[in-house]
Amino acid sequence: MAISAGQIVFYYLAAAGIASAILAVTRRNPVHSVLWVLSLFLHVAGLFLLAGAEFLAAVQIIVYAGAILVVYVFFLMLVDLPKEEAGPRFGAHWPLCLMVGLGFAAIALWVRVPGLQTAAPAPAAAPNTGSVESFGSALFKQFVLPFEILSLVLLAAIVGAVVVGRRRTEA
Amino acid sequence: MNFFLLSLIKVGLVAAVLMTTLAYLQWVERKVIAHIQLRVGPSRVGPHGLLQPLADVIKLITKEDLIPAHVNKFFYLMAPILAVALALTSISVIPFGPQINVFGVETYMQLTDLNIGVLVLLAISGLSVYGIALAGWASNNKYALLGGLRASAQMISYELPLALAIASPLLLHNSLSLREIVNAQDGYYFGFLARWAIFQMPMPQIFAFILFMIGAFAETNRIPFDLPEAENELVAGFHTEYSSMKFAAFFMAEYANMITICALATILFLGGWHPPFPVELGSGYVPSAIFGMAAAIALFHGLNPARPKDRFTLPVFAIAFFGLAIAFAIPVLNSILLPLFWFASKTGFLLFLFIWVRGTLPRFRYDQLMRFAWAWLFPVSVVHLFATGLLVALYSN
Repeated sequence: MAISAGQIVFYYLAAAGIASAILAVTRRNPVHSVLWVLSLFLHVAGLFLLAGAEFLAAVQIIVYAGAILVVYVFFLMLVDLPKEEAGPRFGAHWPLCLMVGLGFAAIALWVRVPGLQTAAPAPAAAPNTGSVESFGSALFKQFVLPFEILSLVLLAAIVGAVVVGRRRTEA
Repeated sequence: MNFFLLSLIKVGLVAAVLMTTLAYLQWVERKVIAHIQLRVGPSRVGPHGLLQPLADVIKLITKEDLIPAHVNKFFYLMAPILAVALALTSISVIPFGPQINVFGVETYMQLTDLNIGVLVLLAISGLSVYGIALAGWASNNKYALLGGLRASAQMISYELPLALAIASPLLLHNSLSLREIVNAQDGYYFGFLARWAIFQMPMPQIFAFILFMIGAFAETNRIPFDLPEAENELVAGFHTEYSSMKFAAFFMAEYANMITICALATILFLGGWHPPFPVELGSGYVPSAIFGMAAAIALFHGLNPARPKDRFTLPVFAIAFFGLAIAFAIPVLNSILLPLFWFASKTGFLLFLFIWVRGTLPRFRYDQLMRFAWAWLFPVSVVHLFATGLLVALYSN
């Protein structure tokens, strides 16, 4: 069985991503956990690159690693570390969480599309239309309704954040 | 020619030029600030202090490399590496000039052209927050922690208006590849007005340029936004506990980020390597004229020296400038040197702007900084992006 370089890279990225995820939930030091999540995000970006989706890879890093996770780091830097590290790592409900996670993984495995598992290079037919154009036209033509619903959900989250923030300042 | 050999040569060239520029940018900054404040600035090491950067490098390398006992050692050591590595990586997508032909080898004056070049720069600048935040956290020091917190809050706040300011010229250029962005700004209106993004129809991006520069000042933690290292409140901010080469790494990262962001502004808004007026009107003779004039001035002052040493140093400078003037007049070298000259002079002007502002403006207060980002800069850049989108859509129909 011949193994291509793309497959080796894919298995490395997948294995390292899963390892980072496991380390992220098992570390006692919250800052270490967040940095393992950063490693996970970078490996996922690598997977996107391997699948020829450069735009998604860049967005993965800009939005998740560069913005959302920085906010996490921002708050965790203020945590009282000795106290945090002394406490138990998991709450009492961790078996339930594990079951939900495994169930989700099982669903993903069950419905997986066989064609996606090998790393397909970007289609060479249209060299000038990068993945940004195809991504944009898919988002605003084919999937415009889910996209709009998602933006509404995000708007609700923003309003919720503002409400929570206001209540705290009044108290 | 072998692709790897060619890439290796180009990487070596870019790295050498970048490192020299980093070192001398700091010399230029000290000199300019000194002259703004009616001082002389570095003047002891070499003529006009020109060897000062070398002396600084030797000093920083040979200083005691101190690791405080209370730090988180792994992250304390990782943070400066992360900061400087990311800052130096981003230069790889910047195009310095068009396709050139050197001894029969066709190549671009750019290390690599990605079709998502702009996004790569944004991603790298997003990741560079970690270097500063981790430095502040791992130092285990209140001042450093506050500096790190301020830096991360400031950088994620100003990244939004910065990204929106980048998005509006992208609507005009219709590409994310930095090389194609520059090519989209070729040509002239009415035969003399350059089609740079800040002049380009249907929506001249002059406001986006201003917004971008404000965001750039904040992203690079420069005055008036240098709250992360405000010395009268925070000692030295996130790098309080760093010494020797680790301190130098943060310093290099700051200056490398400055250079990259000025080069990006040049590419996005100021037409990259395209001259400000067409070759038919004589823009090809500008560098020769400038360097020739500089040579004449240096020679004049060397013959009428104000200080005894000037009699020897200034004629040497005159010969150097004259050599440059001659080099720009040689037709064979022109195709390589002219784009580099325009690119370097635009980037250099923006770098000078950074230094000029540092010598001029006071520092913001922290709450003013945040209110400015969210209540003024962000809404204005959103409105500007919408206006650009509307005009581009109307224009293209």
